[in-house]
Amino acid sequence: MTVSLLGILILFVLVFLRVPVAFAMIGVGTVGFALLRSWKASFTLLGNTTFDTALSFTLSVIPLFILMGNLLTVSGVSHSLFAASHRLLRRLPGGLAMATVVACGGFSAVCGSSLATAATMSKVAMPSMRKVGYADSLATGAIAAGGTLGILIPPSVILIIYGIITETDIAKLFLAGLLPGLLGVIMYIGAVYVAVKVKPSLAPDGLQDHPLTKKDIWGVTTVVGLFAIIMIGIYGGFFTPSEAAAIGALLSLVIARVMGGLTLKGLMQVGLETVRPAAMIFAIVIGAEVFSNFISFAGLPDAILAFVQTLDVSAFVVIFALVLIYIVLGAVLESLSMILLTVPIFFPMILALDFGTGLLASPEAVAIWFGIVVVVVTEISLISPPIGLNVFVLRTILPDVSLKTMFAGIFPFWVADILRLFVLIAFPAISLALVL
Amino acid sequence: MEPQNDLNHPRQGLGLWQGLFRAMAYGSVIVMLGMTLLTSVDVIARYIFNRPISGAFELTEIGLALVVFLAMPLTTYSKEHVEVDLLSIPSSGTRRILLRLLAVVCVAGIFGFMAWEVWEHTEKLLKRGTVTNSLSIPLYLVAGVVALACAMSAVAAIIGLFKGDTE
Amino acid sequence: EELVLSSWLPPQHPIAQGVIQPWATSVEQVTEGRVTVRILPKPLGPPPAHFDLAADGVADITYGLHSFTRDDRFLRSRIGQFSFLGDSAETTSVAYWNVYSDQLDAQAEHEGVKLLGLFVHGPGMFHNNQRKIESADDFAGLKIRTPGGYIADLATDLGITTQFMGPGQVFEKLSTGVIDGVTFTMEALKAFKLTDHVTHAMHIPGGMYNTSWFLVMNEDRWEDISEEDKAAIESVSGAAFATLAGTVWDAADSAGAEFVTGTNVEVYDAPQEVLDAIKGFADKHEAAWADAVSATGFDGAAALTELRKQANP
Ligand code: NA
Ligand code: NA
Repeated sequence: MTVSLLGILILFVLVFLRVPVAFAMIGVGTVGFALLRSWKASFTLLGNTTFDTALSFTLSVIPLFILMGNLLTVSGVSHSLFAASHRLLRRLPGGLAMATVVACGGFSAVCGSSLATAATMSKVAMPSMRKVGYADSLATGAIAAGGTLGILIPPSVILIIYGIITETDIAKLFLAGLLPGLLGVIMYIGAVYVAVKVKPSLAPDGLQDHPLTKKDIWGVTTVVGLFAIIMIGIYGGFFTPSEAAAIGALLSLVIARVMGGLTLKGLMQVGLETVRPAAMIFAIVIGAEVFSNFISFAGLPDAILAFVQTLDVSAFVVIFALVLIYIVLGAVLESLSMILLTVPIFFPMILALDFGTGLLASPEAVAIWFGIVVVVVTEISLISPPIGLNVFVLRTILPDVSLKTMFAGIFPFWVADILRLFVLIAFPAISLALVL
Repeated sequence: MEPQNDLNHPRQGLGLWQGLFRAMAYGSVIVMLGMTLLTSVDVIARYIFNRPISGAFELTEIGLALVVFLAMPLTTYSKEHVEVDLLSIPSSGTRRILLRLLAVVCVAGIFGFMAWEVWEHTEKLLKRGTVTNSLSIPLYLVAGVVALACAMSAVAAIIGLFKGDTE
Repeated sequence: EELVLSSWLPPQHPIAQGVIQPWATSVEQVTEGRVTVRILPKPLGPPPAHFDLAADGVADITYGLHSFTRDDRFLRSRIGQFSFLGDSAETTSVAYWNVYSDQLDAQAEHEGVKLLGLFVHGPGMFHNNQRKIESADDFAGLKIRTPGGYIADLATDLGITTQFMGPGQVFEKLSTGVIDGVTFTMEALKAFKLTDHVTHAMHIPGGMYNTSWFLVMNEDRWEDISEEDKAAIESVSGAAFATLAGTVWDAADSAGAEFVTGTNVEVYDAPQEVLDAIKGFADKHEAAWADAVSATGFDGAAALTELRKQANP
């Protein structure tokens, strides 16, 4: 117990001193396990874990879904999504910002990463909004927040990783993310509406009427088609998530070739941009595995569970307390590290909580619902100051907009996110309706 | 992306390593594209010819290990491992050197231990003759590549110290 | 003395809940608390790694299947995988423990660990969603998941395309048509919720195949324990443990059979022609195995005869 708390403390110090998260976890996990057991056992376990994690069939979806998103980024379908959304919402106040949110949601349906969604959509939506005089704050806020939908609307790299470390069915997690993702789109549109009503200067009036081109229609059709193939494929029982990822990547390759003029050189470049984050993610998965072996051996999850049981409070109170911890942690931690650092500690306790006889009666339902809650909290962390990765990504693309402006623009979306989080906790049915 | 001198150390001689890391990463890309094709063909073969590709499962597993670890040295060299940047690193001075040394010692040291231990694992797999279920692919070959790639990543972490941070 | 046990089955699984946990408790009781067993909330590696986790001293105690280890370390253990061994997991498990330990020196094959227990599950069946197997030709072309080892070879002989995957993936692969069926026990139809995706469950008297399991403890840790406590632990391990595990499997199979009765799955006994075909290939494999075993200085054929005799009292 003391060893594991000390380990967690050292982990946070190392992470603060800029040791990459994966290696701080591996280092602390290995040394901690050695102190509890032996150096020989701990090093053997490190070798085993490294090799066994790499040879894992379910993890193969990660590079393939990243590849699919990256190929679609170069295919230019994001322009079509934005044009179509704008066509739909052009008469509403702040219509371009709303269109940005909807297009982000659309791109999320074929891209598993929030950072990639935000980066892709910023290149498309930002110039259009600037041209008609939208405030930079609202424009960047809509992109940064809309981008977070990438990890909630399936496919989602974060849900895959959550599924793997908690042994929860990935197909069910994907389905569970769908309605909360749509709710996110609707609430973000509401946030734009309220923001523009309060401060009309954010989005100057002026109807932009651009009829859709043939290419736009094709672009939207391919995205909708690809999403349909993936979802019908997985839920109609035609193929597994891993197979969906491969087929999605292959179709995206064709789309990128036909619509984006992808060359062989371009393909290799996209490939490099895929395998590098994949390697990074795996280092972190190995780190989480090594670290959680240590804390599980040290008995920390059992101790936390015992502690929570002595408090004798309802399961929902525990969840609310956890969510508060997550929001605080999310302000300072990067999303992937946050999930990997915390889920191994909290998950066994969550499963042991008693949620009564309703929708959350089975451990599987609790695991799925908690996964969605964790992902929504992670979305919030992506846009919370001081460390909001989506904001940082925008900053590298739009160096002339200050962080202060961006975080100010994000505020209405952040409020919408917090509201959505509480709605999802209060009504597990939104996450579980399609699954159970 | 322009590399800059760090710790006043000359960059000569690093070109070969960089080239090697890059070549391995390209290998990773090719394996990944191969996996994409293999899985897609497997699905098509199943529906059209009612005959899946035998061993597709284990080829995917092995492919994934290769994709990840062949890309690891370049990822490490380019400092793409996630850091929490609450504390900003000054562009020069003792504080910078200490902070970067701590990170490099951790990353290179851990990759070194990983290489060592996976190599021990490789020897065990070789001695016992462990093979995959359907295609009987000797697993020590895969473990050997993983061990080697970990060692390369340790090197990548060290020589990455002498180039500037990627922004 | 606290011993750490790494368990890879979900905590609600009959073996985890009904065998491993009670055994851990009884160790504590018979040693009057001098030796306790702590089951980790999370396994220290994937299932196939578990034998080596104990041998290498990463964990103190582990359990698992011999067939997960894809090398030749457990040649003689395969006596527990053949066809027609026995209809009851309880008697077959006890017979497996007795015969494999006495006549085939099971401990010698489990290098680096103290062998605490051995068991098998109930008779292995043949489940599929394509057709009722009425002649040996009906096997041809089916895509079937097997756990590897003997049953994979037997299935190949029967013209089956065998597929390998973790047991947890069977549901998904059955529902997506990647596989047409699976060799499993009756219990598994319920445990893995397969009844919507299986139409025919064929029972083979004595089992089409079986799987052999071990319970082991790191050798050095075992030597650290006092002679008195060693004897106490052995009294609740070995044959007693085989009885416990077999009883739990049998109960799970009964519950599975009851569950399947209420579904559309047709359960039937294999016709004589199918049995004859299986027997033909089975004899070949048993003879090849006995040859390999005799090269190590043991009489495999005699042991197998003895195992069948003890398993069918
Ligand atoms: Na997505
Ligand atoms: Na944050």
